[in-house]
Amino acid sequence: MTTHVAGQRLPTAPPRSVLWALATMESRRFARHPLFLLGVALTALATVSYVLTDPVDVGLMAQPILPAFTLGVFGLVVADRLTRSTAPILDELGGTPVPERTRTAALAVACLVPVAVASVWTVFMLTYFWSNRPVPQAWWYDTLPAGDIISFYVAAAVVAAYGGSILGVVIGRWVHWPGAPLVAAVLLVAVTIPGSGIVEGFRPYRQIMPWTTWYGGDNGAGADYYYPGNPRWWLAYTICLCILGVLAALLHDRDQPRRRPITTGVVTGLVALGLCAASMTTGPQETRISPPVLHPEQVP
Amino acid sequence: MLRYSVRVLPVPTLLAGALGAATLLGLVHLRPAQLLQAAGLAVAAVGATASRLFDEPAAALVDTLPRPLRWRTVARLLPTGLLALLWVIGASVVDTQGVGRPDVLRLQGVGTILAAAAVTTVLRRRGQPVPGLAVASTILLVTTFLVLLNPFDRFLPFFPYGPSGDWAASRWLWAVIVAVAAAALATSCLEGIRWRFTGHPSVHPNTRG
Repeated sequence: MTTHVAGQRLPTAPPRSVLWALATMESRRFARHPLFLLGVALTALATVSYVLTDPVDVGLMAQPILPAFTLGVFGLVVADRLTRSTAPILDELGGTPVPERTRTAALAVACLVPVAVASVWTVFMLTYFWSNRPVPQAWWYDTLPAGDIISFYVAAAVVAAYGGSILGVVIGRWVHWPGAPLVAAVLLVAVTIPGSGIVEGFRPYRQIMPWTTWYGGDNGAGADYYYPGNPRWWLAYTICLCILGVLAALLHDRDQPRRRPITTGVVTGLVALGLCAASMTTGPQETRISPPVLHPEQVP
Repeated sequence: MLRYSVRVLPVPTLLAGALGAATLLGLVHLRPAQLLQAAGLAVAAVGATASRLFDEPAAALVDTLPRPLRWRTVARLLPTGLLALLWVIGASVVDTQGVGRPDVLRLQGVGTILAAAAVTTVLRRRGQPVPGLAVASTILLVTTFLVLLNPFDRFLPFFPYGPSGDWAASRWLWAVIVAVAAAALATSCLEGIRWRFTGHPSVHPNTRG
């Protein structure tokens, strides 16, 4: 792919080594950002506190909200800051030979840093509580298909960590107001609260949200809800949302051809709609209630 | 001073914060049982807004002018007070239907606003011209974390829920935060003033600003 500039044919795509060099640099910046480190510390603190609680909370299916927030929403702000941070320097220098699209792609790769932490957390939770399950009748391996549990954990923790961060890159590229990531963070959490199944009328359609849950908490009678829908299709849907985020961030560079990312985006969007519909229409179609879930010390 | 306060008022930031908090409190008013956590989000939003009120992008210039930083900081406390007043009114109007406690809600907002103002003014005195964005990000994220996932809820109930919540402990906790933040803010604003036995403060020439 080439572009004509002042009568010369210049390569628009730099060598791959430039992308990886930039990606490595941006990943280091991401990993050293104070807010990211704070998010990791809060993740560790809350996880240790949860594991050490005796008796352990039976709501294991509710736990992915922790990395989704401490890595995803924190990642949103961090990625936005990293994206904006180079603009003043580039203004002073008068530009850079590396196209914006390559720099954005490097940031998209750097967003894998919180994914790595979220993956470690997910593997730990899924394996630690394999043997240390709270009570047999709780919503966990004994009562749900393992594929559903793993899909939900990967989507709601690992993919959410990437989704929040890539949303930060999108905002950093497209919105000039520096307060935008904070407003986006509040909005994201605000729509997630009612969208996580607590509003009964919206429950069958909640999978359209970028983050939701299948666990309904203690209903006061010692039993827990398990919401309808298929977490496996929802996992694929959230991955599509992340791809759309990457494409939206890449599209900001107007000096590069846009037809291919737009076509890819339209196709991905259609696939995402299909996957979302599949997540709503397959799997259990009614809210299930567990048998009474009592902690060992609550049993008479 | 009033004219200065009005001129430096970051209207878009203040409007965004106030409207955001009002919307979130409105959601709580509609469905308190399901959406009480939105009140905590509103607390985070007003705290983040308060920390943006002390930014001085032109600090390199205004620091050389006769008005000292202390004077400018005190002037910027007026919009902060306005934000706190709006919060108190909003938190008093919202009906939590027994799921929340209006007095604790008022304390939560005022405490967060004062803490944000105290941290930002301290950083501003240490030479950072625009500390607001970093402080706003930290306050917003940490407060929201405490709303959603406080791992020490049993010992430090920042945002209790329902009739079984430890509201008395939460009330004390936020009262302490309000007191400490107010003291830190006052100390930051009064730093550099020498108090004489006559009771009239004077400014040491080397500590102006």
